Amino acid sequence: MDHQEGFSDTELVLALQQEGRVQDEAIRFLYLRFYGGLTQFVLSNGGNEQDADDIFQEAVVSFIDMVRLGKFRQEASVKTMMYTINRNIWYTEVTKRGKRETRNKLFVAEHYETEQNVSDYITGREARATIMTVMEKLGADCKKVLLLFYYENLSMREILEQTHFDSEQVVRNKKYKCLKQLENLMKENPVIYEQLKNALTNER
Amino acid sequence: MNDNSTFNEQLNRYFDGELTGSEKTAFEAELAASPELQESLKALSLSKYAVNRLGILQQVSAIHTEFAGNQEKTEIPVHTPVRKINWKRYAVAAAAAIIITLGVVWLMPPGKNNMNAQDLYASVYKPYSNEQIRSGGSAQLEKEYAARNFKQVIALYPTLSNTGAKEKLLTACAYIENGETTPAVNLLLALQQDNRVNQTSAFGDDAEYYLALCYLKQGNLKDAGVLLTKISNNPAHPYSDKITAAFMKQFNKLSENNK
Repeated sequence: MDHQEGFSDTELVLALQQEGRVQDEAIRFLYLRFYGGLTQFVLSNGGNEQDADDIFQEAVVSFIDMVRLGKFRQEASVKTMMYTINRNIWYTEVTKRGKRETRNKLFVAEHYETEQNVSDYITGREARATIMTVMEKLGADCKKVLLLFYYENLSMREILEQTHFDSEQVVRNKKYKCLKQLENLMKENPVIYEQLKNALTNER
Repeated sequence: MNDNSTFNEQLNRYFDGELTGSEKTAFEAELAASPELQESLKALSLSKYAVNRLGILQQVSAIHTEFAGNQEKTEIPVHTPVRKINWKRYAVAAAAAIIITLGVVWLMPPGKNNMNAQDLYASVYKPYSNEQIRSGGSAQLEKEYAARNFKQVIALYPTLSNTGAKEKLLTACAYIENGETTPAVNLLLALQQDNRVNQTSAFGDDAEYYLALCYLKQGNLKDAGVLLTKISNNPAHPYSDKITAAFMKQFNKLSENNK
């Protein structure tokens, strides 16, 4: 079993699978272990430092997301998975930018067993990015209440302590309204909404 | 089917895992028979997914900034211009440093060359002073803090209708003064989370410093190390003068010994 800096592959996956807020230590572990190698990959394949940084950050978010969606069942190591995700995201980015030479070079890279899972996931990259821009349309209060409830797993009482609302019931009503508002905002873009809905249904 | 508002309330309660017993069983039967209801549930799941993804993005982004900052710091010596050294001034400073160091070593009890976490905490802890921030609606809490009535600060906090970064920090520091680091850590983490969600940095530096010290006092060297290194590596951090290279040397020695 691969064990380094406090997390084996299994421990890492277990830490990331928990609903709600991710343990900071698990994310830091991914940075400490993979930042150097993965950013170097982008730098060696036509990217600049900013590209390498951005792609790595997206790879970390994608890896956590894939673990939570049950798309990573440890058929391969975390290392293989991280490298595959990083390479696929960079490949998609290069394709988007139309850099044929770099794309061809990446295309002949060795085949990983996790390739299909990852490329299926990366297919929804644009949809996920669009949904995040939709989230930005929510008011600050809405984002805060929804994040505290669903991501931080805080109770209504704890949320009340961190906000300016008058009572737990007001917070509860606000949360319902915000969730509905978010749903309506997402449905304003039916193509993306359906694409993401299908992706999530298939991924789970 | 129920009327619309009851329908939505039940759906949300089911989605949040708040329905139990017969209420849950009845709702699940209705769900199984209603494609419309199933569709609404999917929409809620998708919204929750979007919220969680935003949470992950914000959390990774915060750690990314922290990590990238540390990476840049390690490269600083390469770009530092060579300065002309005033040897006379440095000779006086070096002599003073030797005298102080000898004094400190002499004052240390035997066997204290390897400081423990509590010693290190005590060597660097400085009570928070709120003189510069007194204003606004929580004046009473600030007044009590300034008067060092820490138990009163802790008692006042839950009664406040609006608790922002300032109130969290002062109450956390009151807990620290009271010797209770666990509630202090919770408040400081909540302060940091508020800043992340609101994309602000109110009292963020103070929170980092006191959070690091709480972890240190608790013997949580791993989390303390991350924050102390961050503070020590950033000359612009208002607490970097407290987390000196000598302190970090002692801390690293302690961390090594505890592995």
